[in-house]
Amino acid sequence: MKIKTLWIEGYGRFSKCTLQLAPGLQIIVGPNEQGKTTIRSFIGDMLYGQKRSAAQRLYDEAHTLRRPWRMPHTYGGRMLYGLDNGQDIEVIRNFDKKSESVQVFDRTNAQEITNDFPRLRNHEPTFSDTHLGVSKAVYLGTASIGHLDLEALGSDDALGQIRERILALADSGEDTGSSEEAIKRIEARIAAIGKPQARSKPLPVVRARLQELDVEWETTSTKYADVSGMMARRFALMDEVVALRTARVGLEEELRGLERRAHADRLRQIEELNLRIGECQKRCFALSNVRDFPLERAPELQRAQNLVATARAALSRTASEREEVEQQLLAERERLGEVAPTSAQDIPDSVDQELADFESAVARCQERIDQAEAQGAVARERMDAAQQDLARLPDFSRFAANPMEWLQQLATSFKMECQSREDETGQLALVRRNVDRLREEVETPQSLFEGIEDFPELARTFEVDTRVREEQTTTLHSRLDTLRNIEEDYASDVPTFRNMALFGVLLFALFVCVAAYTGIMGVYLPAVLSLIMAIWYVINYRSVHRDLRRAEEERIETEQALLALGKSYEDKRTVISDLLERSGSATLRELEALHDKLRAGLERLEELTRALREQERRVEDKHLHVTRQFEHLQRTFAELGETLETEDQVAEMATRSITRYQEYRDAKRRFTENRDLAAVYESELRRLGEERETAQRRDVGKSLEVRKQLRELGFRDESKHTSALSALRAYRIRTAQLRQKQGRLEVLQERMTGLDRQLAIEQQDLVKSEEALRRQLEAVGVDSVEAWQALAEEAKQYREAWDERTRLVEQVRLILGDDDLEALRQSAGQVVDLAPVSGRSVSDIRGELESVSAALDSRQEEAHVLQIAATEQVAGLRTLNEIEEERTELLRRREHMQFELDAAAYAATVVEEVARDRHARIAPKLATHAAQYLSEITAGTYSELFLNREMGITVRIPQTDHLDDHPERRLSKGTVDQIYLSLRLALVQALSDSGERIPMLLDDPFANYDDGRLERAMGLLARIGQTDQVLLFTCREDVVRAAETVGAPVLRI
Amino acid sequence: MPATYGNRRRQGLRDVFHAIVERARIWPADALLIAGDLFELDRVSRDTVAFLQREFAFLAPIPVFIAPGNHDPFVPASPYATETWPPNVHIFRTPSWTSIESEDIPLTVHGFAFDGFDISNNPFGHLRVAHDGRVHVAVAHGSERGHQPAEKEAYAPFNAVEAACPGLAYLALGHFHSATAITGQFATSMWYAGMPEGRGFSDVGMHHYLEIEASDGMVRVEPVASSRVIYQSFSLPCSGFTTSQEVVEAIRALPRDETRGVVARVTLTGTASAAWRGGVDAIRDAAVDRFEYLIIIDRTEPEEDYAALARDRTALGLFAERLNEEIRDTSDPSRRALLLRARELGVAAYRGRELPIAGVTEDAL
Repeated sequence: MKIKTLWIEGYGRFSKCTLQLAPGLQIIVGPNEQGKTTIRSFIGDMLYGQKRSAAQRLYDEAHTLRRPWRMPHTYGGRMLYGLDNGQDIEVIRNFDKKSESVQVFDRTNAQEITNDFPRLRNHEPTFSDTHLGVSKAVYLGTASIGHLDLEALGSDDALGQIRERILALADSGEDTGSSEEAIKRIEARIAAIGKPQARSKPLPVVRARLQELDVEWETTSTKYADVSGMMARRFALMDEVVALRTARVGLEEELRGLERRAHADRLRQIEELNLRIGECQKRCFALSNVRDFPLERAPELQRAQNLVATARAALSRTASEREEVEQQLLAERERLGEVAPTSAQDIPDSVDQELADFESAVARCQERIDQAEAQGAVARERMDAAQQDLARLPDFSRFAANPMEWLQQLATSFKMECQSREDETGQLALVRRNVDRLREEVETPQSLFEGIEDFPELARTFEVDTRVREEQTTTLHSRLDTLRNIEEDYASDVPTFRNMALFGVLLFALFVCVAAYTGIMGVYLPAVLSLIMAIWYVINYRSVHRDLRRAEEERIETEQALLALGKSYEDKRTVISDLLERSGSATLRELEALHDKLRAGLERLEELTRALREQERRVEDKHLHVTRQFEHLQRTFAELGETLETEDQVAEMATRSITRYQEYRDAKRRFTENRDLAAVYESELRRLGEERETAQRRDVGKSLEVRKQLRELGFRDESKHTSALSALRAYRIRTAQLRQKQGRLEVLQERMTGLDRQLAIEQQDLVKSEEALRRQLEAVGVDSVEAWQALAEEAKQYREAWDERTRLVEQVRLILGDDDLEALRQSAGQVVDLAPVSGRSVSDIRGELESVSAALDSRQEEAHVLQIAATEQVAGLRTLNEIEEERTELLRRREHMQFELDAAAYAATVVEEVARDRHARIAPKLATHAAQYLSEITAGTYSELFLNREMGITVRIPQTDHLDDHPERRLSKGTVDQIYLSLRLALVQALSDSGERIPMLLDDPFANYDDGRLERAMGLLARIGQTDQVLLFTCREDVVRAAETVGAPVLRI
Repeated sequence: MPATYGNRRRQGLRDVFHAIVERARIWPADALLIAGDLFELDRVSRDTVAFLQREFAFLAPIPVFIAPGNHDPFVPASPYATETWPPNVHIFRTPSWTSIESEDIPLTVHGFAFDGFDISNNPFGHLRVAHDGRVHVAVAHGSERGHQPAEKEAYAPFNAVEAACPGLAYLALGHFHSATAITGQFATSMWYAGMPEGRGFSDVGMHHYLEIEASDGMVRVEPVASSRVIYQSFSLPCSGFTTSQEVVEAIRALPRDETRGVVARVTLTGTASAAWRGGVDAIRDAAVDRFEYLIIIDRTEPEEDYAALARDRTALGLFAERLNEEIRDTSDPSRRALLLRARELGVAAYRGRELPIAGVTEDAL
């Protein structure tokens, strides 16, 4: 697309303003605040309108900002642009809200095409989307290029920011809308919902709460079910309680009858018991002298007696044992003889362990030293092998930080260059074919119009002449017809007038003759009248005759003029007729269209010829570029030890070099690893040597110390042992043997001493026991145990009689119970009134009554317990409805969150996939174009620029000749800015490649350029301007001067 | 809806029941007939049982006749069996017709009970009424076949003709949720009273209880509106609304019963402007003051021209194009909803626009 003319009716500061724009590079210069931005905005608004979005009919803020300063009702304008297919489109817009309108005209075919385009939801016709192939956002984002205004320009992350901006523009056409950012935002959203492992996020929290609610539901349901069971059970129990109460009342009644019968029996039993009580009292009286005998002390007396016997027996047993031990001691002393006493001080047991540890530490160190030496030798062998491998392979590290990627990029870049050359060559052939075809097309019409210098003028004159001739012919024919009509009229009148004149003369003659013959004077009057009539007709006759002659003359003249007109027209018509005949056209219009087509064809031919020449130059450039690159590759591969002969071998060479690089990398890795390992083992050996020396030093010191101690302890044989540890162990064995002998004698001696002490104690115990027995006998006034036992027998009889009496009195009391004896006698007297008994005993009835009461109590207790249990069971429980309501709400929320999670995950997947595809496709194109542009701007200083699949920018740094992923540390702000411009221009090219050429709007992009690069950048833009329109807005005169050097037109506002 | 509001609604049901009991006491009615489903057996709380006991005691000596239904069957664990009810309460206990004669007035009430969640023996058609000069009414629970929705399960199904019997003045029916008169070629007057208060959006509109007068062979039935809160569902097309204010005003303007509280469920449809889309919570909060309770379901689609977006030669355009195709090709509604949301999320992510996350609220847990 090329924007040709802007007619600004009213827009911002502009009113009734017309701007003609060149189809290539056009400089628009003006000081600040003179409307450069307004013009850019006008172009954007004319193409896409001012709606806020494709879906909303609301205006964006530009609508108010760009309202005309004067005459607001003129808000709008026209724009004429040409498409790449030659079609001219004119857009007419009125931005005023009240009379908003847009019209699109096809000026080539002279028709309105507004309704040929589908409309967006905001009612905008999508002509610009259709013509440019991009939306408003993408057009404004990508086609408007300013200078790099990165805050951290020149900092470490400048290329990163450029990458992100390019990514964003390529991905969405907006400054911040890269796929990476989109994925980050979606992932942040997923994290906000909560991944499964996140516990505090809403979704996991809701899931956990749902699990809790499930448990609560189960628990509550179970408890409610339990409570229902309990209540059913309680209901059954209450029925039983009623039945048991009834049974208990019956039993109680029966029991009361039986009790009255029992009273009589009880009275009889009491009277019998009273008789037996009297007998017991008599026996007690007879034995009253031993009433107070301390019979209860009999166990004590018996115990004292036992103690005396026990003490005597123990004393005797201990004395015999002492005698036996004394004999054993004497026998043992005789058997063992004298033993030398062992030292009280001894070497601690820990010394053995310490010595053993030192010895084993030394041995362990030695073992590890041997291992380390062996491993070190292996590592050195491997290192040597790797070094040999490295020696036969080129040093890839000289070429690039990442040689594999570099080689791939070299191959890819060369392949793309070749492809580009082929494309350009193909394009050249296409252009040639087009030129030839066009030449053939214009050949016939050209020969047709050959010799006619100005056919349009000829056609116009012919048209005018034709029209004039037609008008004159029409006029003359009309006049001729009129004259012929007049002639006919006159010709018809002449005989009438002549005959009427003759008739008048005849009448006059007749009336004169009659008057003359008759003499009547009155007849002369008609004769006179007849004469007057004859004279009048004669006069008319003569007048008409004259007019007739005159009309005849005039008709003849007109006929002659008509003939002359036809003749002169025929002369001119012959040329046109000849053209019409030769061209096969039916009308002059067709002939004109043919001529227009010829003229357009010639212009197109001229244009194509120019394009052909340009294409030839580009093909030549491409060939040259490929050749240079091929030579560069030859040199590069030569340095890598490969011979590159043909272009077809590049890929193979790259693959082979990659293979060799992989070998190199592997060898380098092995070399580094084994070198590091060898160093590690060396270091380990040094450390182990030191460790061994330390252990040995400690071992020797400790050994000397132990040997000295052994000597001091009298162990003379220590010198016979090679190590202190073995000497110490021998010493320990000898000491243990001596201690065993000494220990046995000490045991017997200790036992003797113990038996002596025990003998003394037992003698004291015997004396005490005899004293205690004596005191007990004196207490009852006897002196022997036998006398004490005789008195005790009598006292026992007394107590038996008294106990019998007491038992009988107790029986009476029991039989009476709480009753009074007199009442019992009265009750016994009423027995005759009782009903017959059922046959069951009172105890049976009581038992049954107790059983019924127990059952009743049990049921009531159980019912009460159930009541309490049921109450406790549901206490604090929420109702199932409440749980279910919360659960329903949580399920709804979980479903929504899961849905959001799934949708976000799917969106992230699709974004990632499309971004990957998109980047893979666009990155090589961008890299190729951008590298060319950068090379051109920097005069070849920076000729290699690569983009990987993630759009990471790599530039070969001339100072180091290495590709650098982070070259910004070495680049000036200007160069970074130029990389940015190259990429932005490349991005527009990439977008244009698949459709209409997109006009670029550049806003002073040369802020950081030096003069040389500014001039070359202008040359680049001029070159781009040969195929694409570039509108460069600037306020700088140096830019204007640079533009003038490349012949770019300058428009001052 | 949240449990707190559920508790309010449960209290509302009790209030309506109390009002009916109060009306029966003041009128005064000769009897209160309850045709089952007084409560949910597996949900009923001891507090609810105590409430019913208190209400019935409050109504004494007016007799209450209860015919347990499929939701509150007479089973051993039922409160009908385990609890002690006031003496004026007569609960039918078996799945066969039982008759109870009033001692004070010439009224005989016949009824039966569900003995499980489905009745073991359908007694409809087996009622015989003596011609003894008393007014005979029956109270029962079941599905009249002529009014039974096809998709619902029938309980103790019967035909109205066979349920009617000579001498039976009125048959009080329970099971269907709205007041329904059963008419036909029979002399017995039959009505489903329905539930006196709706419990959810399946019970939309006004609910009633019935006042019945029977004398001298004539029966007059008067449905009395009893709902204090009614449920209503609305669908609100939102295309063209540019601000949330317009949505709020449209919700406020929805036709509703001004005399009663309305629990409304408003489904937003059509396309929604990015300016307010997703702010449904705020819209609900703004419009809820006109309703007893308000639920808003957002079924709107974003106001974005995805077809235009898909024409862009960018990753965003490819993204939109791919999802447009997938949305067009899918016939599964849930998959379609997922794809629509994924498309909206992806486009918003490219544009750095935050979208609210459904289900995640400020006061979550």
